[in-house]
Amino acid sequence: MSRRVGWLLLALLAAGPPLALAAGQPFYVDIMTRLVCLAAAATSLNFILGHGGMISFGHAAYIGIGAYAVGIPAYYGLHDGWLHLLLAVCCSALFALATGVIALRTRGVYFIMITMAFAQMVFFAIVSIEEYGGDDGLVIDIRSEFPLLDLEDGLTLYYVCFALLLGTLYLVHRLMRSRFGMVIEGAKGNERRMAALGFAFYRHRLAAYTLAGALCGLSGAMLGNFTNFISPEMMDWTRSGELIFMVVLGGAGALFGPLIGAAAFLLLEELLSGWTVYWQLPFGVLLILVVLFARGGLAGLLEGRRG
Amino acid sequence: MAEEALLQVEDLKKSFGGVTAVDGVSMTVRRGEVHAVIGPNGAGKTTLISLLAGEIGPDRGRILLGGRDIARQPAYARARLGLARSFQITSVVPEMRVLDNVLLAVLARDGRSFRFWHPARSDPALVRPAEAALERVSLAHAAGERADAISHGEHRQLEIAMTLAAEPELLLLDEPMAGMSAEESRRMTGILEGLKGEKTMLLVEHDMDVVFALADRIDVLVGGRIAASGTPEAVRADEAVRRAYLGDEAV
Ligand SMILES: Nc1ncnc2c1ncn2[C@@H]1O[C@H](COP(=O)(O)OP(=O)(O)O)[C@@H](O)[C@H]1O
Ligand SMILES: [Mg+2]
Repeated sequence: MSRRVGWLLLALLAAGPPLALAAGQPFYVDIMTRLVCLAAAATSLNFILGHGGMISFGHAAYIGIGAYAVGIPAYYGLHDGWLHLLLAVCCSALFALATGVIALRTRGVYFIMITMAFAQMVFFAIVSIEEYGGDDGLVIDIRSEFPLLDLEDGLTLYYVCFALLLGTLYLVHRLMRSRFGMVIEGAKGNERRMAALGFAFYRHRLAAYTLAGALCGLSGAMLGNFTNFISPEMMDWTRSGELIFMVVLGGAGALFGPLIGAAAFLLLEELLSGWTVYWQLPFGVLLILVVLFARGGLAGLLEGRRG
Repeated sequence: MAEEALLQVEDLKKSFGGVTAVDGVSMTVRRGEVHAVIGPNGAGKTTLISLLAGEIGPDRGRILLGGRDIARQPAYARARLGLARSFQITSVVPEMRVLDNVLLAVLARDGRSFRFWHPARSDPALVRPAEAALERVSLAHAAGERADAISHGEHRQLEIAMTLAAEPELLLLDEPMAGMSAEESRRMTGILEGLKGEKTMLLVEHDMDVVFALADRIDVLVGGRIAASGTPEAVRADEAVRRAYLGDEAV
């Protein structure tokens, strides 16, 4: 059932933007671009959080790193898209590898705190660099340039982001069915038994953590292109919290969970922020309800599973 | 006897705070034999298994597997050298299917786990041995169930299937019959009898009928020390053992 909702959402996202444009509502293309980028980021987080049990509270750092991998070269007049993507992937992967080596030695609350701390380090590092706007952020006046693709065209940009979402979903799907994915899943379920069987799963986790970071870096690069304006705020710890929210709300460990969660998140944000300035409060209440009563998130509810 | 020693334990000791759970244990397990460890609750049997498997580190002593000291190796490294333990309290991956749990054991044995693309669950190199291990413990019917949805007796069978699928040199079995009904216990005894002669086993067990039926040698552990050791007949006849442990039940 959650699969069906997932596929339905994907169909809507595939066909929606041209229809919105035809109806004279370009605003909806913007919303969908943001949705698709955030869903891809949340899917990469779900890979380690939902499937692997690694509750990273610093995943927005990779959105920031990916965005600045576009913004900083652009600041120097380097607009080559492949360069941007390469930088986004490599810097994100390196950051994930370097911090994962340490963070993955900890468990539970310590892991949550340490991943958050590492992300805040990137946040403050960027804030402190006046050259790139510091607190005020950086305007990207020309989007990444690719042969044959013109990202200045909103629809083209959208479909590139959509392709990234599809790619991320497919990759996580394949990974989780592979031998590697089974080790990740097994280590989430029972570390002690996995060690007794002979798995040194720290290495698998580190590889997964690095991969998830690199994938999220790509989402960040696309998000930066979309907003035309990047700032440290993109990697604030509350942003990491929102990504977790999407994963948990949608259903941690379900392939389409983060997509459903991201859609629900944006919808709620839109509805609630129009209704009250304190929209984060009902958000929090909702999350608690989901955690208490629907352990598999919305995807779990759709499967008829209760807490 | 000239049989080769597979496992030699020398002066192994482990304390938890003030409690000395294992207190200078030495023992030898020969290749191919069923070596039982019996003893009252709290005697240190599970601690001994955990020390051998590498889940906890000893305060003192040596553990030689095929002549090589493994006492400082982590659990996963010892598993790769051919040790496989089962748990007294069932320890499986609850969210995964029964077959997947055994598949993981086969994968651990195979070693090639950094493969990112091809589906593991349709890989005959993994599935066939996993199915065979389930057959072996008569659990094939539950292969597709989630591991947290099967009965207690089936959990115990799954424990053994995972241990077998790892194709170890030495099985460390911690009370495989724990909490089983008489019927289930009989079936498990049959399974272990089928493995006798083929696998070397260190068997911790409470059920004396099982121990005397299966074991080639028995060590009696009391208060963390070996109180007696020998063939089943010798141990049964040992006056000190009768008084200290077996009590009236064995007379
Ligand atoms: N992790 C631990 N921490 C503290 N004490 C322990 C621990 N594990 C075992 N013990 C103590 O060590 C003794 C031996 O326990 P155990 O090895 O479980 O015995 P058995 O398996 O023979 O029943 C007991 O007194 C137990 O309370
Ligand atoms: Mg015990």
